[in-house]
Amino acid sequence: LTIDNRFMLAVSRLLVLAITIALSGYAQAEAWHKPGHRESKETVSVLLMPIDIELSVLTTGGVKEVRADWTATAEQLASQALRRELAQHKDKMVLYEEPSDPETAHLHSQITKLHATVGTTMFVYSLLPSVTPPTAKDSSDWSLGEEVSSLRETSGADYGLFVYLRDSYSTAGRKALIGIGALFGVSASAGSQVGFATLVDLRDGSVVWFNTLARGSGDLRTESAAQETIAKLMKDLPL
Amino acid sequence: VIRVSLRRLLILSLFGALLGCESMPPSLEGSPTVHAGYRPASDTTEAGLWLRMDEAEEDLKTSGKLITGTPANEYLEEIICKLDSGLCEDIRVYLVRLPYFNATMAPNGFMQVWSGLLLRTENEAQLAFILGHEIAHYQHKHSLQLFYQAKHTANMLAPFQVAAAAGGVGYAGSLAEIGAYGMLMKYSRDHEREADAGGFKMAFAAGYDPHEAAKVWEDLQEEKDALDEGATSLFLSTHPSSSERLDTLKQMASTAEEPSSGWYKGAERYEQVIDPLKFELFQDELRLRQYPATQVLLDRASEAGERPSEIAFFQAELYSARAEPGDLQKAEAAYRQSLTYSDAPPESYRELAMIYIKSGRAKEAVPLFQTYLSKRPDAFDRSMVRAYIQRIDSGEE
Repeated sequence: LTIDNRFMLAVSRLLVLAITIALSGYAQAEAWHKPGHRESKETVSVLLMPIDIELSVLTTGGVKEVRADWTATAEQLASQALRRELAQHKDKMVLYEEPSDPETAHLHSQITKLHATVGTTMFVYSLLPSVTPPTAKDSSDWSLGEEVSSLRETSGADYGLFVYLRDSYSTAGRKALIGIGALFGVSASAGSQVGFATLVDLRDGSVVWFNTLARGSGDLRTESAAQETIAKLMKDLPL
Repeated sequence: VIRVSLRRLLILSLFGALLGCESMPPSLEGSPTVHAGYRPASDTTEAGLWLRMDEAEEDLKTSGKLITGTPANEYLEEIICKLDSGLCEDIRVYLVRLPYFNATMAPNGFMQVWSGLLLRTENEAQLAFILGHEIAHYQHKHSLQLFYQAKHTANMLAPFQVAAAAGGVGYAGSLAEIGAYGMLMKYSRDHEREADAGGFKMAFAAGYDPHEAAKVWEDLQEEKDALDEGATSLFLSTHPSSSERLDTLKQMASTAEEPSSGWYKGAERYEQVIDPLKFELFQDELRLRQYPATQVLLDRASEAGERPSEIAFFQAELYSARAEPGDLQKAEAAYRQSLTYSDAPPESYRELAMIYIKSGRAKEAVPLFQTYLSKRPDAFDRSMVRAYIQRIDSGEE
């Protein structure tokens, strides 16, 4: 055994996401607001969490290949765009700083992973009502759990803003394959941009706002394109 | 009819053009080698693979499946550094609590050694040949090569799949698939051969007894034979042609010249480090419920003169878990056997008591339970054992 199974698992997870988009016909859902949640009249502070981001190439055969260099660039550009976006709001922005205590740092990284999992579930349910279990229909109590209060303690912020982005780009070969397939009525998945942003109340972990992005276009490798993507994702942010 | 064949011709020619779109995997001929402190350039496929594996490594660290802080952890690191690959500083080794014979190497340099492996290797030399094998995988970038090959295979097959979906190619597509996957398997086998040879060279140079390299595989074969059918070992199923491997390793060993100081096996040191883990390792092994294979391991441990009280205890546990006709009696005898030794695991008392309850001798169980509690005052199941005693005393059992 040389390649870790987790690697294949991650690939298949992303494939599922891509299929989800294909099924949804790239519908842009409206942002979700927690019922009854009111935008505070007073100034609040928002903690900007590190973006969970990965850019990859979709090869002819449908294998996703992570691009480390694009990912590094996109992380920088998207963070900049996010800071610029938040600066337009009246509220105070706090940047996340990793705590020196390893246990707290570990807890925070686990919270980021939990956000990816909870967010993916919300994302799939919002796009595909048919796969949503009856008990989860119209859920209004999505939460990352009370442990997020640790973020409040270390940052002093009232809310946490989490962003998750996965962006893939078809190679020329993949585009040709899609084109030829389309001629004969066979569809193959294409490069796509999927992501979500979540505003979390750091007192109790409840999700107060959630917005998704799922489309076959968009880019994160240039400054203007990253700004456009982030602006779309931050639309209707209740701050 | 003409329309169909025209359509077929069109599809075939279109995807023929497509095959040229993405080129062959970069040739890695002549076995690349990784030097100390190596990191791939950030705009490469390899860097993407490393990024993913860095994440996987973080996941592993927080998985709760690791055995950490034991002398065995240091021992593994020590052996890796004894093997002169120059990569000792770059390789991180993790001991994973999984009861199978397996070790893996990730392209970014983290190695997993599964705990079931330590139940199966008998000395340091055997372990060294396996660790050397894994280091060679890293040294020659086998994961990256396999990734390229898998990508290439998928790219090659994609047009066939589209064409098949469009009703274009029929069985030619299936043939292409068989051929492509066959190629992937062969690729992986070539890597195993290269890793075997590289690992052998490293461990041999470090003075380890080369005859031990083949011994591990012979032992595994014995387990496999005991299980009659199919390979349940993950390692065996992904590491094919074991007889060929065995022959090659034996051949390499036979031409090796023994140094004047003699070969190093490191059986004593190995036992000293691994012995404290054995109880837990056998407990995990039993949970697999592959009794014939476990029996082979118990027999081997017995032959090697390992602690007889523990072997008798696990022999009893095996009978008790297998529960075939007559096994309850055999288990009772084996627990008793275990209790003839002064260092018997206290659990023997508890288990023997349970057999007494099952066979209608509940009164005799009480003193055994009491001995268990006195030897393990903090036992996790002490409340339950006390409850049993109470029930027996009140005549409910």
